[in-house]
Amino acid sequence: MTQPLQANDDILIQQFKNGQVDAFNTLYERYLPNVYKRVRYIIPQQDVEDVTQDVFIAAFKSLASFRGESQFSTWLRTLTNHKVAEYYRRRNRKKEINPVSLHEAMGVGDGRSAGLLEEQISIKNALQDLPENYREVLILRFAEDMQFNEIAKVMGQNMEAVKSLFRRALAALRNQLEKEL
Amino acid sequence: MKRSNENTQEYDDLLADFADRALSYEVENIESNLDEDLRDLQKMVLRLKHSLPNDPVEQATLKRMKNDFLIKSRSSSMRKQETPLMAFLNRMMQIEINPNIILTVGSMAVFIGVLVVAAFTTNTSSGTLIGTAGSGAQITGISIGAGIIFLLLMLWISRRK
Repeated sequence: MTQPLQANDDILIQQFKNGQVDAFNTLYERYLPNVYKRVRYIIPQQDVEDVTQDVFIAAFKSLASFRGESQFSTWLRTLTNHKVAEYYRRRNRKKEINPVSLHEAMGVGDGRSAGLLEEQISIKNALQDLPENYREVLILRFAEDMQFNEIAKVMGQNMEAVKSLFRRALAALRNQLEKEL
Repeated sequence: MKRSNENTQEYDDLLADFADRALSYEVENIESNLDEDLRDLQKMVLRLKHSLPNDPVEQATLKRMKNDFLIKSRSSSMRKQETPLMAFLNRMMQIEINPNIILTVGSMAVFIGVLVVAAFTTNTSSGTLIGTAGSGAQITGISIGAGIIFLLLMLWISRRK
């Protein structure tokens, strides 16, 4: 979600705050692909669109209170993480033991093999069980396709620390997947 | 095996570099001249890349989502213009009531009802005979009974969660 047009974000946010509701549509178009990719990485396929829309509806409703202390992209990323956590909380309340079930995933009907879907489910479940900073570095690199120097900027760390975090995150994910077997 | 700081950094760099090359489709296989742990982590990189591919989102999906969003955001803007009473009523209509809450409120209502009836019965039956034996014991008994029923109900509800 790194945007070279950060100033434009600020202008659009200001316009929105001044009552030009349409300014949000530009922000939506700009950030939709990345939010979608982030959500797709951790949420069952059939719920990706709904959760993504929930993120933007929440952003739309609370943008007026956005104080600009962080970048809009960072704020939106945090909001996305909250919505994902909320999604899993809601699911757990419905007594669905597995965060993602094969049955649901098969309902997608996108032609992918059951083996691959099972693998996706295992990885999504394992990712959900990782500590937040581990999950974040993996999502930024794999889902949002950020380079390590960009991740360092977003996470407020130096490159060495980020690469070390990346290695530990991969090791933790591997261990988590082995545990699930 | 414990690594020195320098080795660990080299190790981190190798893995990060491998991930960069794997994600830009420059490598498809792990490198065999490395130690086992690093090879394992390289396998994880390839596993993630293959299982959860980072394909671009289809334009048709983005377009459809944008149209849906426009409808939702417009109705959300409309809701902002509602009076507080209308907003409250709308929220009340949309609340999804948890059956456990209904059961808890219901059992509390039964409990309170039993207490009220018990108190009323005791007062009317005791009449003017102040100090008659049994009236105090009667209300205590009813209260204990109602309390036990209430506790059993709560236990049953908590077991269902």
